Amino acid sequence: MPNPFENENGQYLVLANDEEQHSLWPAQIAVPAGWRTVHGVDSRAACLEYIETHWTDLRPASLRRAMDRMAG
Amino acid sequence: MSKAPPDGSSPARGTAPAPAPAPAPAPAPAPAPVRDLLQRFREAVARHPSRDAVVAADGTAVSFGTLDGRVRRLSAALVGAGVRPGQHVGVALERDPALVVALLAVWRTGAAYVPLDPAHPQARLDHMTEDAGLTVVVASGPDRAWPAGVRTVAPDAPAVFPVPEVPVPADAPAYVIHTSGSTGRPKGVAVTRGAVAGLVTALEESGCYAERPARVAWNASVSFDASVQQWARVCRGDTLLMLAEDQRADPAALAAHLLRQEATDLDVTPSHWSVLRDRVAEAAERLPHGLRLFVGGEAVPAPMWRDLAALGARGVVRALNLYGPTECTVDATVGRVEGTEPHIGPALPGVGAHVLDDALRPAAEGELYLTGPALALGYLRRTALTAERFTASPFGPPGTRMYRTGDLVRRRADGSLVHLGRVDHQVKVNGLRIELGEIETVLTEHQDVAAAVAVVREHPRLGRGLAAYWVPAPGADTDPEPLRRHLGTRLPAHMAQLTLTALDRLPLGVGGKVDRAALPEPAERQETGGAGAAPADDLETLIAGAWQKVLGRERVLATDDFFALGGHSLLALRVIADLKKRRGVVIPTRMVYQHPRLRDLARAIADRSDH
Repeated sequence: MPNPFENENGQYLVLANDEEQHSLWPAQIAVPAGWRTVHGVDSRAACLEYIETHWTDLRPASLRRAMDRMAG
Repeated sequence: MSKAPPDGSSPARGTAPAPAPAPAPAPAPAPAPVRDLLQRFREAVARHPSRDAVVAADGTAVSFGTLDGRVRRLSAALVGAGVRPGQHVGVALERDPALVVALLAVWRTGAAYVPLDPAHPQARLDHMTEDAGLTVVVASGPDRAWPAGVRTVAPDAPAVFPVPEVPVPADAPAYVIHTSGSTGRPKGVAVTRGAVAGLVTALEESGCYAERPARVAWNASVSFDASVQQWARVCRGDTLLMLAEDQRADPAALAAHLLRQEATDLDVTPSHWSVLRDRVAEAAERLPHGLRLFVGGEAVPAPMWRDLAALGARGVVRALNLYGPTECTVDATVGRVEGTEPHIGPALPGVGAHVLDDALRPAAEGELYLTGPALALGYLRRTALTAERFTASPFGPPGTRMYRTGDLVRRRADGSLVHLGRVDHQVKVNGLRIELGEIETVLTEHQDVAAAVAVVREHPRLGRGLAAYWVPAPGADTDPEPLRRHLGTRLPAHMAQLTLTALDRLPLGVGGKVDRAALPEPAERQETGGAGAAPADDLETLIAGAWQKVLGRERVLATDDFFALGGHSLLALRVIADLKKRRGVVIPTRMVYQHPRLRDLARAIADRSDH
């Protein structure tokens, strides 16, 4: 059996945390605490595409705000 | 630091198996408070301004006080050039004290450094420059053209106004290091300032460092994250000994340098240690405190492990085996080299090491997942890839992530982990991480190539080396030379040094995937038939002699290519040492990479000595 994150034909979710970091997640495994589902159930490829379009800044939200304050 | 060092003070502790307590998986014990490394550097400067901070390969020393002054000046010049907190700044410098100045100066501005190895091909440096959005690069010479819009700042650039140090949050990036990417382009791993500070603290806590001030030989290239655990030690007041290329390549020269400089610590990959072992162990016997050896980058073979354990029992070298992906800030686990079975030890303080099965349940054997503040932010401009590898974690505080390493491990009864292999096509050659997919992608981008596959092959005499197989496009030439040149312009030397074998078709297994096990012996490695020119003059004959010895061949032609014959970077080191021994000819490793053909290398050496 492949790694649960590597199943090309599997069903997946996209999760996000309070820092707006995103995670691919296998639909058959319970969602960890502190994460909410923002997309899915969907195919692996569709979930990755969702992430690529919706998560555009790698920085955690709190860091982004702190750096913006320093710049401002 | 109050704990006893894990490498022990009594040789009798040696090989006795630890009384096995219940396996204690993650989470690891709470780490000690982590202090910012620039703050620690300031304290070191104040404590001992005249102590050596950095010693150049030629023995020239730079004190902590002087280093601090140079860091302040360069950081002011960087701010003058427009560098702001949170930005990325390229650093394209050779192994010289100026490199340490640049790394610290970038941090002092609140920015993150991006190493750009001057030896890498232009196309790769351009890609990394663009990927990291660089607008400023610290570089010493005008010898390289940077993409439009990039400003260069010399490491000794004068500054008009002094600037204050800029404190940044612990999760601001410290550096972006590019690692091989399976889709054909290197990926930039963004690591945080807090994680680097945490690494130094964790290694201190687990007793990896001596109490007395250390003199640390800096061996790894700044392009690889193993360098971080070496150079960052200047922030805790240790002295950095910079090693020149020819010292790294020549075991006798390195041993003499370590003795002369009274080195206490050395980082090596197992491959490099296999070359250095005899001379450096001999030198370590004469060093007042022996030598602490930080081994990492690839698996330690069992015979080397036992040899290191024996040297440890005699107090000559005290070896630690460090394991960790770049994505988890250099080191995630550390094992003392004792006993007979190689292992990577338990997790460092602050790192959670979870061995999970395919349903993400804890298991005795499975894939290793890492948690904790050492995790990188992710891959620059690759959020989907980041979300695949840095996933939500069912362990630790809510909302935190875990990194999926791709490494298969087994947890021993004493809690130490044993590395079993990879789940994918990432390989290590001479301690350097390579995605075979990146080589395959670059090969298939060439017009003459219809399909390609790359593998690592063990050779009884030559050791581990890369071998690529390619199917020529219809009507294309089967001459591998244009292909070899193409690789050289796209990939760094350690990925472009491979044999090229043309095949009519790639062997396919069930499911239509390439059957890597069914690939034949590389064609180029086989004995030369006789076509091509024999070595003509003294110099060519001298080089041919060195190649024959190192590659174990009866005959080498002037038209032969070192890497096509199965040569690789470690064997290049042996060639250089042999040339030096036979005729006192000293050449940098880079020269062998730039002139892989025997005749070209001879000409380059001759041209150089004419000057």
